[in-house]
Amino acid sequence: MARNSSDKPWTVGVLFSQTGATSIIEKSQLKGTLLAIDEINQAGGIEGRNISPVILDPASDVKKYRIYAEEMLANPELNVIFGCYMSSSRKEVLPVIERQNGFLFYPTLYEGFEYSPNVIYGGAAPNQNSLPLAIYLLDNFGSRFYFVGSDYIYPRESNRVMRNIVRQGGGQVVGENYLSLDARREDFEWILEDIGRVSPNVIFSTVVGIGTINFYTAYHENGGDGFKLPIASLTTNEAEVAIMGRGAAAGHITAAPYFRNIKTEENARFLGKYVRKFGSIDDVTSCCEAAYSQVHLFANALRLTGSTGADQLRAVLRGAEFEAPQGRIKIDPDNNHTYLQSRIARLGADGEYRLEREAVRPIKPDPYLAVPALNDWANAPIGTN
Amino acid sequence: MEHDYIIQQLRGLNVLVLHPRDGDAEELLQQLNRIGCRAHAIWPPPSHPTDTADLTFIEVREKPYDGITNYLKLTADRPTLIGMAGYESPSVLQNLIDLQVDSVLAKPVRPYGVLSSIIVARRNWQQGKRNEKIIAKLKSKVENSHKMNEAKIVLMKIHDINEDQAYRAIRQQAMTCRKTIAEIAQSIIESNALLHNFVAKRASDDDDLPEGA
Repeated sequence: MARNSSDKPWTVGVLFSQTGATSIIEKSQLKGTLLAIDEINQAGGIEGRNISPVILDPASDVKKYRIYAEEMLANPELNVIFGCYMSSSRKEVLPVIERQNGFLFYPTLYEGFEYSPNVIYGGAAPNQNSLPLAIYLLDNFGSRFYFVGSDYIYPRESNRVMRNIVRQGGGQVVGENYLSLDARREDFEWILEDIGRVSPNVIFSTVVGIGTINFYTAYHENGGDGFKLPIASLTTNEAEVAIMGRGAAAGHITAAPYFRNIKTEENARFLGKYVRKFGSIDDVTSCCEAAYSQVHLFANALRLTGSTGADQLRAVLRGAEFEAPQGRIKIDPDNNHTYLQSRIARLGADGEYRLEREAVRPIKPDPYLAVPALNDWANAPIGTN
Repeated sequence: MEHDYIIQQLRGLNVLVLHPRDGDAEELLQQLNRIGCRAHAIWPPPSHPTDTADLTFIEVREKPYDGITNYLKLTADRPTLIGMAGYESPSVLQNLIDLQVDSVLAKPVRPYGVLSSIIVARRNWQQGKRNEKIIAKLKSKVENSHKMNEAKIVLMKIHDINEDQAYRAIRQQAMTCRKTIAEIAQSIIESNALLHNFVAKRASDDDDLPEGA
């Protein structure tokens, strides 16, 4: 079966937007993917064959994800795709992947309530990020939450989870508004006015993509101060902070499995290689790190199977572990999601994230957790840093 | 909003899968595990139901399977039922109707759709339970008001009083005896019937006497 003698490469699809609303974060995922592929190829590939990526740019257009996934899987040599950021794009690609028995590595946090045998979910589920974040916010800032989000499925589901936890903690949601994905700075003004009126203790933002930069900048320009009334988010990241600038970013909070300035050996190695390949580490994010780790998990699996068949890959990926830049991660054999670290960090005046809390061990993913309880076991490992 | 708790209570559900141990049953059990329900499978169906499940998945085929129909007959409290059907032929569909399933899970089983079919089934089952309760309540209400009218008429005839007075007399009696109005009404109707029978019997005895003695 193994075609050791052949120097034909392993062809994989890479489907991240390099233009459009979510391109900042997806470009960082693309770079993480390419860096890992480089590493693997430089180390001699898999069974002497290099990994060769077919890269297409869906331009943040949900429909194009489906069209491009179909195009990729039409190639009989290609069965594995790395890609997707927004849930809506994953939902487009999913039926294509399942119909062809292809395999998708999805390196992004999302709202949960999904399982496909043909997907490995590499980002955090709500029990790994929303729950610890809500507890931290209730502990430190107060009980009046204001929700702002982009208008699609992830923010609405994410807010549903958050609302449940906030209510359990005796808090209340004093405002909830959604704006389109391409909302401009001035589109946030009425929301900022409303925030001024109801004076919450914390703003929980599920605004994604370019809207994040516009929101934080508009907040800053209108006199908002992250050290007084922070914006907390699950998606805001180093790449977006680099663009919005430290002034707009200071004081705000993010929950994620990975931050760029984490001190682990693997992270130092990862960042060293990243800067050599791309010249700067400004856009390294947790989604980039997840993309990087997923390629390595794939490569390790491919060494065992010698095939990109979905059934073979699935069999060896379940339970697979990897020493990632964030720490050790593991694919949960029950649900194809990933045991991840859980960290909460706050941006300083210098625009750098500083850890506020972190879990002492990876947290098991629980994608079907409808009503997270404040006293859920998943919180136990969260300690104050 | 009254069905709010269906999603929140999902994980507390005790789920039983009555389906041959094949790929479909396996796929279903795994998904139930992911969702976080307490699920177990038994095949063939036990002849004596032990602890009853909140939710039962049953295999539905073109002809009724005795094991399942017996199991359901012996189960006192009807659980929420979800039929697992591999065909949509008329005989299978008829069995879905006859078994009164609350929703259907199509085979081959895929992870998608399990959650939706559980939610819909629970909603239908809850609605059914609630309707049963309401109907029972309305039934007894109608019966009671019927009795009340009858009892009032009895009192009105005997004591030559009006309806309002009859009603107040019954209520007073109920309060004194610490019984419900319906119970008092019932006793009035019964004693009246007894007296009436007695009188009627006397009258008919009299009828037997030779005329014009």
